[in-house]
Amino acid sequence: MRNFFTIAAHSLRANLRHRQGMIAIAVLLLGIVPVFFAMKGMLAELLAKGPWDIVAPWVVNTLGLSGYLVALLCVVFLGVMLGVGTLTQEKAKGALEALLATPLGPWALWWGKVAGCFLPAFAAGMVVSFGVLWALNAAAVVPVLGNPLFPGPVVATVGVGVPFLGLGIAALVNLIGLLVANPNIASLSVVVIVLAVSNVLPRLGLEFAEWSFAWVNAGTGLFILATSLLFAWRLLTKERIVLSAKRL
Amino acid sequence: MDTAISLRGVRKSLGGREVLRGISLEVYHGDVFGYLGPNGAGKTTTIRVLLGLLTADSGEILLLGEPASSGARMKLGFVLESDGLFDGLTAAENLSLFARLYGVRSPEVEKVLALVGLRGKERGRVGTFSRGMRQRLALARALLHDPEILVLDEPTAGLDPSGQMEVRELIRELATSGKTVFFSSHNLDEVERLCNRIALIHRGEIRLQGGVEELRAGGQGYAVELPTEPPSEMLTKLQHEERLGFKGVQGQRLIFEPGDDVGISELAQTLSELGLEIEAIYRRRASLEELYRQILAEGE
Repeated sequence: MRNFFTIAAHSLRANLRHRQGMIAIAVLLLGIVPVFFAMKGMLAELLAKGPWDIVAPWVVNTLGLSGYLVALLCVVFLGVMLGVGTLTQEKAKGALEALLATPLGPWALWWGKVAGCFLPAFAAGMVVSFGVLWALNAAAVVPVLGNPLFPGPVVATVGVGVPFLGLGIAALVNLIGLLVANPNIASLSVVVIVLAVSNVLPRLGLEFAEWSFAWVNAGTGLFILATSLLFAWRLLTKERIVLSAKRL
Repeated sequence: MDTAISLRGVRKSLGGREVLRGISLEVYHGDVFGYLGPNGAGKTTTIRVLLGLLTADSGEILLLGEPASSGARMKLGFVLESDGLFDGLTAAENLSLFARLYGVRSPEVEKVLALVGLRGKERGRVGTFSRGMRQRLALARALLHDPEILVLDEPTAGLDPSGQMEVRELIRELATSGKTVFFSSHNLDEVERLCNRIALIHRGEIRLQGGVEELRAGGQGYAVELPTEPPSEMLTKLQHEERLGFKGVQGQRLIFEPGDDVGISELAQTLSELGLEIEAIYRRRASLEELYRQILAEGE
């Protein structure tokens, strides 16, 4: 456990100092601004159409979409960018091999790396997503309704669904990064997962402000996490990590 | 004599190729042990097996008499072929990270940095260090938990001559302080100067093992010093005297490797009879390079 915390703290610091991490944060912040203004415009348009009892489902759904998009960008995109950047570099330079030559085990290395990219992404995701929801309320909802809207399903999606999805993806990406010769393949796997999720969820007929949407996201994350654990149980050894790095 | 590292019949296959073919090695406490071999012979694989990075298919590994568990491996310090340092961290941060992994509560970062000649570089970012400084920092990292055995994989590879000298000097100092040093190299001169014992691996098999002096002394014939360079007709005569085992000429020195039946006095007498004026004659000691070439040639 001590080694897990050591690697998590080290990865956290390294990821935040890494150039790719800084670029990811900058891209993310730049990306959120247009999302905010687009959603603010949509909300204002919907609320202007009134009456409230008719437009309410669309307003709540728009808030849900806003929170979901921003949380997904922060937790998944930022987490993956942070993790893969340093992993690639450390693997190529033999730093992972040096770590594994100490009493550090492969599972502590894996989960340390996961924590190192997931925790800052999760923290940033929660602050930014709820910040955007609060700002949208302040800018578009409160002037019309007189009070802000934080619907329970939206809060559950942002606070539970997306973090579980992010955790599952972070675990899978880092596992692939440790086991394959080119850790950039891990980034590709995220694109595949996000494309799959974004194709499947609309076909299920779910709205962004439904409880089931939150649980489907959380469930998808747990499924990816369980699959990663199963693969790790079969494949994750010091030998595999070292030999995959050798071929770089 | 206490054994620090013992490998017995260790085998390892990688990608369907047997890289280690039942190697057995004994490294004694206090040895500076040179592990020689050409590229691809199995040196790095042996070191990885020793450090637990690869699992041996069969065979036994003992460290200070104990089976090589993760606990026993705490007594090992290492420098790998690539230094494995974190470029984005400072020297002190690199050392602290590894100290925590070894469970060292209050690492003596300044002390080990001073030991390797990097005093005052604690806050220097490793990415800005020269190759020589990085290698010295990697040595400092290996010493943090005060291990009894140091395992070094080609510690002078890629260094300029002054960097090589610094690292060699450090290895000497560490050996003097009582550490057992096991290091791989393909630099024969370096091994000859630093080591008291060596092993030579070729194509996954140990072809030679023992004390440097005893290996060099073994059956390598005689050298005969002459006052002047010998005339070519004399060399032809010597080549015809098959029992003398004439091997060649190096300036004013003739090299002979006769059979066991020809002693030093008989050789001297025969050469005098042939008309050679002898200044000195002595038993010749082979250089490691000659032994190395001989063993490698036998394996071809």
